Amino acid sequence: MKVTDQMISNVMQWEMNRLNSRLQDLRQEAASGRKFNQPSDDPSAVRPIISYSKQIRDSQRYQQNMGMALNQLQAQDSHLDNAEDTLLRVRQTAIHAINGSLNESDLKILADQVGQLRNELLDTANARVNEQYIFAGYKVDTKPFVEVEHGDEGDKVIEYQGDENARKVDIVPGEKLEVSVTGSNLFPSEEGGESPDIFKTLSKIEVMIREGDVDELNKEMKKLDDSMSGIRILRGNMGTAMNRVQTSIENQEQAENDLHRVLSKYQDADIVKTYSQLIQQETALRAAYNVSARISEISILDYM
Amino acid sequence: MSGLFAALNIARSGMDANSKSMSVVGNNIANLNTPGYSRQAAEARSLPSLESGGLMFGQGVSIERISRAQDVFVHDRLLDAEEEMGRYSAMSAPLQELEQVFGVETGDNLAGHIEEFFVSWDNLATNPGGEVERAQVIQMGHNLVSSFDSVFRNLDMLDGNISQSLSFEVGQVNAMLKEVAELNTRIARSKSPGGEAHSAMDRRDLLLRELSGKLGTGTYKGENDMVSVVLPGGRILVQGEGAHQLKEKEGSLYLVSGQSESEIGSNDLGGAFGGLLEVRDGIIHQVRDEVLALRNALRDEVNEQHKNGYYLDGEDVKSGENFFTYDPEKPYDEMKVALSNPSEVAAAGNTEAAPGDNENALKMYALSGKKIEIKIGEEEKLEGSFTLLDYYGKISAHVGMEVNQNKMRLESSGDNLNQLINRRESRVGVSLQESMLELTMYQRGFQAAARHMSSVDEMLQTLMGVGR
Repeated sequence: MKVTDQMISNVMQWEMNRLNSRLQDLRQEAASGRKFNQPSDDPSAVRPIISYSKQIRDSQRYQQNMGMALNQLQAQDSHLDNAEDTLLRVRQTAIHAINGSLNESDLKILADQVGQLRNELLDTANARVNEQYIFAGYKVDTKPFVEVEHGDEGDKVIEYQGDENARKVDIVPGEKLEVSVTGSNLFPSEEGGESPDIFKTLSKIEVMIREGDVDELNKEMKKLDDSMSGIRILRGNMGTAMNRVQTSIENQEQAENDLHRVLSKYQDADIVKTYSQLIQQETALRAAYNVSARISEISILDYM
Repeated sequence: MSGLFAALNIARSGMDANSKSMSVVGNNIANLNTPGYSRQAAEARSLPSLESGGLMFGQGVSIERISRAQDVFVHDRLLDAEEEMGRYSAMSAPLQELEQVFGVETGDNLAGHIEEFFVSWDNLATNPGGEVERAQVIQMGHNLVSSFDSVFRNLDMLDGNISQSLSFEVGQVNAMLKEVAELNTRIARSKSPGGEAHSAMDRRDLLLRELSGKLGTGTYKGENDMVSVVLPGGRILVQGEGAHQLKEKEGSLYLVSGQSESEIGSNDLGGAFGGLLEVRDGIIHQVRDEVLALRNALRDEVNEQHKNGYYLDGEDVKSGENFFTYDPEKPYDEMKVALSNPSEVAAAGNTEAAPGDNENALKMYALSGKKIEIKIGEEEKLEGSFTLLDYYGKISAHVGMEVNQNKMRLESSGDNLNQLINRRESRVGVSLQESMLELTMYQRGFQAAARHMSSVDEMLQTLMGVGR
């Protein structure tokens, strides 16, 4: 095959172009650390990359949502702790009234104390976080426990005005966990009624202490204990929920790590491989430059 | 007629032939770097011998003709290679632009806005009564709509750019077709012996290659060395001394012959034109259908779910309305966000629509992971079940594959073309070494003939001296 000068420069140009464009790709890969920069780099990786990136962001959102749920649960727990504490103090006061041989004015002081504790419990039941009532179910802007007049005699009774819906969060895709306690769960009413038993009980206790009616007081103590154990069960459930959320957060962190690893396989460059290829291509280009310099050194014109 | 005078004549013919050859070689060297130039050679032939005294004496040399190196086989293969190269290199730019529209990186692309829209519902779920969260849902809806609009705008723009470059190329192609016809004329007229139109043929070969690259045209030889140029579908563009013209109207191509115009379909075209039409009418068209299918599926699912929710209008509880509007008569027209008031966002799943009710917002967010039946085109062909983002991924992968395939084909057709160009160079190109050696050879030939002449001259003088 006859070799002409145009051929030589053609071949050199073509080779150098090819080497340069390959080098360009490798440089981008090495500089960005990624082998996948646009869909055409690896069309079959497009869908996995989109899907895994979405799963990673989902997982981050779950973690964030669960973090918020955890805060909510903790806030609720401290309010429940208050409620339990209040009821405990009512109990102590009542026992004091039962055991002690107290005169009328002492009993009055104790009765007033129970009245105050009842108000304290009401405040706790109407606790708000971020301007929202936490024990009102979905009706977060409605005060859940309010005093209303009842019957003809103008008796005041506490009524529950919230609803029966507990707030839920997704802890894993598709699995919901209740993270709030509704007022009706916290202070249940007798069947069909709207007025929570506990406030009735406290009102009765107050009246009985005032009247020194020890026998009846003993009977009401039983209801008080029931309420307290009810709250304790709720707190226990909530503790379980908190653990569940905590575990879920850890699981999601683990899952996120795994997903990052999988995603990396699709889009990150194997730096060692990239560098060695880069060096290879640079050597090839250097050789091409060298050859082209040598070509121009030899010319028949120098010999004629 | 032998003798010294005859010898003088022989010497003269030698000097003449060598100097003619010199100028042919000189012309070759001058055209060393001219694209499309074919090497020429002076064809020397010894003149017929004459009988004298029973002996046959040669009469010297003459240059019969100047020939042009040719390789029909390589030329035909070159036309094919130019066609492929023209096609894939024309497709490469619009495809790469198309790829930019369907990036995979999260952020300012369609996938990002789809996700942000659903995430805004998840944020709303954490505070379903929040004015800010509700306004955010509407805002993200607007962003999503404008993101779809911008994809369609980009596709339209690509479409328009392709039509524009077609109309630009048509002018060039027409000029080339005309020139081929003119060259045909010149070549046919110069058919008289010795008057070959070599440079016209070089020029015509080059034009035929370019035409093949642009239109995928084939050629065949007619009489008097004229060539005809035909489209891949068989329609004639140049025949003999006449050339038809192409015309671009509203993105379509027409062949104008006399008074009549006939449309040329993409099947009748190869090369750059064929490639551009393939991108515009094939790939971009399909991608647009796919994006529409995605948008319509998203719109219907969101509207459906939104209607299952409830919101508070002052004191009254209302069911959600369509979140996105469109004209049901023209489902392919623009889509808009229907809600303007944040309170109309139906976050609640229960008929009381209590402010803490986030059930519908959660279901709305869940749509982002739901598999939806995607139907494509006006005839609503079922594509299969995809999540919205996965379907976006399918579109993006489809575009990526086209770009990737184009890159590989472009490289291999470039390789092929380059090899053929080298083959052609090797067969018909000018080699400097060869030409320099020829130059020396003819120089020496001329010098020898001149020496011969002066020897004969000396002999003549000697002869004349004898008679004195």
